[in-house]
Amino acid sequence: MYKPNPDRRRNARSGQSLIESCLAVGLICLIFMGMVEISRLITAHQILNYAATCGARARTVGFNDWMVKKVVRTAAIPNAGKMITPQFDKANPFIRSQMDLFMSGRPRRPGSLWSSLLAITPRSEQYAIERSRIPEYLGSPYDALARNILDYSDWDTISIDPETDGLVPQTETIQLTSRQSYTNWLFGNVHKSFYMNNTVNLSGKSELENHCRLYLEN
Amino acid sequence: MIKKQKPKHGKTGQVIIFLLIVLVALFFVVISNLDLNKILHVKSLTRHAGDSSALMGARWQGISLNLIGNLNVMKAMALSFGYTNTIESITEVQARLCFTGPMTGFLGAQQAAKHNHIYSNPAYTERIHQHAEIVRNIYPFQTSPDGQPLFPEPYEGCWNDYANMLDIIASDGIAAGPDNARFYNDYPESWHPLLMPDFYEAIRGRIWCWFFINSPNLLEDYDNYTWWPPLPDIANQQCINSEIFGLGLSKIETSLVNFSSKSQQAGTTIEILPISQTNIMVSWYCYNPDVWSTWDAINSSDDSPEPYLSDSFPINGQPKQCYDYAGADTAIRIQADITRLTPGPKGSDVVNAITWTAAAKPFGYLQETNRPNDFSIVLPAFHDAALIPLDASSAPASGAFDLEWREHIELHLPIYAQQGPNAPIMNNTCWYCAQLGFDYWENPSFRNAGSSWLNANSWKCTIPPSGGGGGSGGGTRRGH
Repeated sequence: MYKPNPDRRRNARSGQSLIESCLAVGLICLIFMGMVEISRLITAHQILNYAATCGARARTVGFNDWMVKKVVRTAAIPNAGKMITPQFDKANPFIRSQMDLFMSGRPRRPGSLWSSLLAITPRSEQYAIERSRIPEYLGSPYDALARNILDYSDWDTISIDPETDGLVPQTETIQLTSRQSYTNWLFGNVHKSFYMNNTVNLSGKSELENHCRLYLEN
Repeated sequence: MIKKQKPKHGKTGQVIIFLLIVLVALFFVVISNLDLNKILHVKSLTRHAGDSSALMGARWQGISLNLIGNLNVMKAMALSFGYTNTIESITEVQARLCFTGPMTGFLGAQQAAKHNHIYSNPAYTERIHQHAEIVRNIYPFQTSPDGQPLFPEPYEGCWNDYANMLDIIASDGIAAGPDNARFYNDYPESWHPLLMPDFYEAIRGRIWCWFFINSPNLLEDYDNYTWWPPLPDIANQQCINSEIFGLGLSKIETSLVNFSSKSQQAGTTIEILPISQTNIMVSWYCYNPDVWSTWDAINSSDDSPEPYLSDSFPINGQPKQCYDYAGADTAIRIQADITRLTPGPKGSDVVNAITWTAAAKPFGYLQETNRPNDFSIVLPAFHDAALIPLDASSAPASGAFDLEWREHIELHLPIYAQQGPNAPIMNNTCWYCAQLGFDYWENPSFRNAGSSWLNANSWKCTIPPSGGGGGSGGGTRRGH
């Protein structure tokens, strides 16, 4: 006669709960990553609104399309993906030393790594380089030169609308829309669990009083 | 009956712990989003405050110029009626207006900034109080080597009045810094790398092309701090204009007939009143031609020999003929601190500074095509004020009220010039001093890295415009 072994039943149950746990953790991870991506999309939309304001402000004092484009791009750097020019060692020496200290296993107070890492933001090497290079980028007279000063992987996905085609806007207000085909996903293809396409079309708008029509003419 | 089995200790809560970690991470995502919102909100406030302050300053410059112009007209009428004894009093009122007008603009700029929810900046306030002390206690007594007053008073008691006005404005708190202030004891504008903020930016950003274009041998020739040419001497300045939002005027003693000939040169005629006293020599307030030149800074034409040296200003169109003048303008710097929600080390607050600069200018004309300064004499002409590009204004590239820069050139540079990067003052938190230190500029391997890069890549600094797309049309270092 078959007698069920209570230990085997217990093992089966624990395996079952392991699978359940894995499924739950996976689902939570997926939802978490989805929420982070949505949060980044909201952030990107806010950044585009801000970039549109910067662009409209540049246009209201008479800047041409090339200058407005540069202004919008620099304002939208958080949406612009990886920095591709200049190339530099992105490893922050301070973070590296802190991590080495952490990995060495030497005793430290709880939370000290967290505190010391927070202490360095946002003065990262990339931030310092951006701060110094943005004025030079804005001052560059044409695209080929500008790209040798500062460039990002997704900058070309950002555009302005409308363009003035070299004419002084004569309207009472300046309206500007900054658009981006957003592809700057943080978790690879995870977004495809919720959204099939790879790009999301985002835009930000701004409207300001037109000042330049007083003193500029075509 | 189904009996619910109690889960074993050690297995429960595994998911809960994970969930908690996720919740903590989500919490940080949420507060970083709130931080971003907060930052963008403060940025928007500083923009509105800066723009409205600049417009307010420019509007008052226009009003002051009109008042001074009206007084010139009044003086001409007094002459025609033979009231020559009133001329001196009118001239003194004009001299006072050159200070009280801009100071009213400065006060108005503070109100505009505060109405836009910008609090007064303690560092700005202190700086203005300090300057008031300098005006009160140093200007009247400073003399040149030949014993002449270095800063002669435009009217009796001027420095005391001016210092009192600065103190009164500062006592309510300064929110909008005058970013084109030209203090009488400032360095003159000259080409000296240590007085150029882009030199420091080139070091920090490793912008080797800046050296290639602006000073090709600097990286190789520099040896140590004694190599630098001496800092320029403080130049004597005309003291008839306010240092803050100055009107750029000069006082000329001449007869009224002279302006008639100037108007003929400008292609029109001033109808001189049929008066007998037109030949009497009188002090007139006129536009200083060094300040009130054509508006070359905004000129979009380009005559540079190479495209990479283009100095074309990136605007659409060109200035209208009647507005094609430089001269009085207002530049404002607003700095607001923002405390982030994301905690800093040991739970401390993280504070970021948000800065905005803006410039505006009074606009007007005498007749449809005549600029206000066409006849040299100030006449009431100004009827508008508008925002202009900051780099087309009189604000220096460094910003006259960037206090960190000011501290660097006023306090740190003279000591650096004597003692070099080993001077104790160089170990402070000054960003500019850090660039001159041993980590960067003073380090030979840093400069060698720049030279090596240029040897291999200098073509990148002169790369021609590509034919296929992209943009072009000049550039300026500040895009607003």
